[in-house]
Amino acid sequence: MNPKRRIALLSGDQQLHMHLELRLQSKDYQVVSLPEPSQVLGFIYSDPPDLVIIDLATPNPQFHTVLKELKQDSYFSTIPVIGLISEGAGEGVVWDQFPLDDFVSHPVRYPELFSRIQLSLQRIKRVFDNNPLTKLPGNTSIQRAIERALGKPLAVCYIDINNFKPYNDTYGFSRGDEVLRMVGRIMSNTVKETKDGGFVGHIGGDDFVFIIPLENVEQVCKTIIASFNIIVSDLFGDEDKARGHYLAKDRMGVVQKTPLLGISIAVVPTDNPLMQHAAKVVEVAAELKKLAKKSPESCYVIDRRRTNPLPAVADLPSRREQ
Amino acid sequence: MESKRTEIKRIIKDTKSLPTLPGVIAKLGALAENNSVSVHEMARVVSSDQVLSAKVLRLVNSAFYGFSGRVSTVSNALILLGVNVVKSLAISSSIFEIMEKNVVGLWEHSMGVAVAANVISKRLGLPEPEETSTAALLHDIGKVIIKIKLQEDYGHLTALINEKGLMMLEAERELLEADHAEIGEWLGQTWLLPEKLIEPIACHHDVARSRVHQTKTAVVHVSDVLIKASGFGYSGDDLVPLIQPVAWQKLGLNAELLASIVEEVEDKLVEVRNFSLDIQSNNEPKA
Amino acid sequence: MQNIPLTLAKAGMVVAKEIKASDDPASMTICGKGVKLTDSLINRLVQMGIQSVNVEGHPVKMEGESSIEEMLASLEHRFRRAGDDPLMLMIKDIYKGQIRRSMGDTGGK
Repeated sequence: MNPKRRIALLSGDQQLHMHLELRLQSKDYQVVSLPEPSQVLGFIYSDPPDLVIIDLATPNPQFHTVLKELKQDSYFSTIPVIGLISEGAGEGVVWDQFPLDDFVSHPVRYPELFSRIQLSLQRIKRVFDNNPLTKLPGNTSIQRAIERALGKPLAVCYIDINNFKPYNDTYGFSRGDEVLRMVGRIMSNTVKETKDGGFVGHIGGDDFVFIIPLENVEQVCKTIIASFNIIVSDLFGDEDKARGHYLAKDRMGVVQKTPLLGISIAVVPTDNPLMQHAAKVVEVAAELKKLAKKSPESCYVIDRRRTNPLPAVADLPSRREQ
Repeated sequence: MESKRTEIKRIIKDTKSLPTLPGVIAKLGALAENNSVSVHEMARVVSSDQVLSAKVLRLVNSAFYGFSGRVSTVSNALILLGVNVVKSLAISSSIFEIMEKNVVGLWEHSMGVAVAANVISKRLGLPEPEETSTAALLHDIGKVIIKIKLQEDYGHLTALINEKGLMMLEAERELLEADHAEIGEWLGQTWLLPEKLIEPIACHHDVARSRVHQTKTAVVHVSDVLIKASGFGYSGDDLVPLIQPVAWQKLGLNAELLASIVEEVEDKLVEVRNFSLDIQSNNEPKA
Repeated sequence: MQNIPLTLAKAGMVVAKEIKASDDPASMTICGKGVKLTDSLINRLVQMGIQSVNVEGHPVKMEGESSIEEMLASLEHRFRRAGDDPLMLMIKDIYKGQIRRSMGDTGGK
């Protein structure tokens, strides 16, 4: 027996709210009433509904904020949001500002609303472009974002987890998945919490990418590495941490000293005239990554070359032995 | 006719959130407005409140995030959930409608036990002091359930305690067939909290029952005894429970060590008291 | 020795335990033991975010504060079901000492 779908209603109009609630319940949806606007987000975060209906016909800036906040978080943006918009007002809407998944006109034509609800719920199931594990934007969005970054004072940064395969082999794919989700969250939160934010994406496996203003690179990389170390510290026992490795069987069945998890970040500034094409960014990143992986600890490497073809002059700012 | 235990388990399954002090929410609201204030201040206030901490931990350990039972401290939850989510969660929490001495008392008691657990863990060089402190903060969360969801029973419990001079634990077992430690355990399991938090909650009155996390459980038990001896806060009765020798031995305590621990705890409690007064000054019921 | 919130500190009180910049024991000492507080020193401490200070004796009568006798009596009352258990007697003794210490009896460490 399928559990009832839970729909959250956000409307300032009491009458409308009541009608909507009754009609939705008649179609076997469970309606969740949201408290006053300032509390809506917290409510949704602690108990995510399956779909949200927002009344945008009665103008309320707080509703608009809720919509934007929800759609900015990669986890919560997967909850479909249907907006109620006044008849005819649809034409004037700047859709960029209103990231809805669908809308219906107000006064509501219920058969249409019900169809759209079902469509939205189905649509979200089709893998758009988001990585199903971390819910972060995937390769189509990433490609586009890199192209948009070329020539601007930004940096495209690639994260890759060191020693991830042996970890996955030893502890299993579920645990490996958790690590991937952790890295996804740490990266997203760190980028989002810095001035001017940025773009985050998940290429696949243990490869992630983020694009931020050049001036924030050091701060963001250091924070991501620090947060990663804190979180990952819980995954290993005290003795393993002290030794810097754990014992695990490699692919040949031989027990090896396996280093703990770490991350490498390859930073490619895009204000560089050498960066004419997204493919060049990817190529340079691959070189930097090789360099970064030479360090036994988590570190980030920034490409500072401006002309072709000088030998690599890369920084390893968080390498302790320097 | 449903047994009391079944009734309580059912109630817990339906519990998605619990209320806390209006003063805490007010303080967080003020911090949230101020952008430069800081993640650390917010984390500090959230981690001093058992209800908010439980809420944050419930969210980060939920199926939605996929970290199933892996996250045991508010600071780690903050890193994984992000500041915005924690902020929104905190300021949207419900509050106790009726403020009374017991509500503030329990809140203070929980904070006190968390502080004591932190001091003991650090003093004895034990691993994971923050996790132990979190478990200590949450140790009496079962009592919040009883107070909020079993109000009639709560009234009977207080009457029983006054009448017969019982400890809260004894009254609970008599009236509810379950005690707050067990209830806390069920809540922890329902909210998918990590085992290293659940076991100390479940066994803080019966340390011998703990399996994997014996040290943490011993610390929470001893901390609870010390705070009750200190008279700080109020957790339902004013009786100091007997300290269990198994906990004493497990931690390798002795009189001198304990005396010095107590001195440090008492010093820290003064700051906790100041914090509490600050929070209480904002406890006026909503207009 | 008494630990009081900084808001209740007054010039003339003597610092009983060194004041550090933060909870971290490795942090800098801002004010040593034995220093007599002055108005400007107190202001400086406020600006640094210090919340409380340990002072000699027991100069502040906190609202609702009980006397030593009352506190000791409450302690006995709390321990009324502890009986003769040796561990409990020991803990009770520790807290007796603690009460005396905080009420200025032993005058600091």
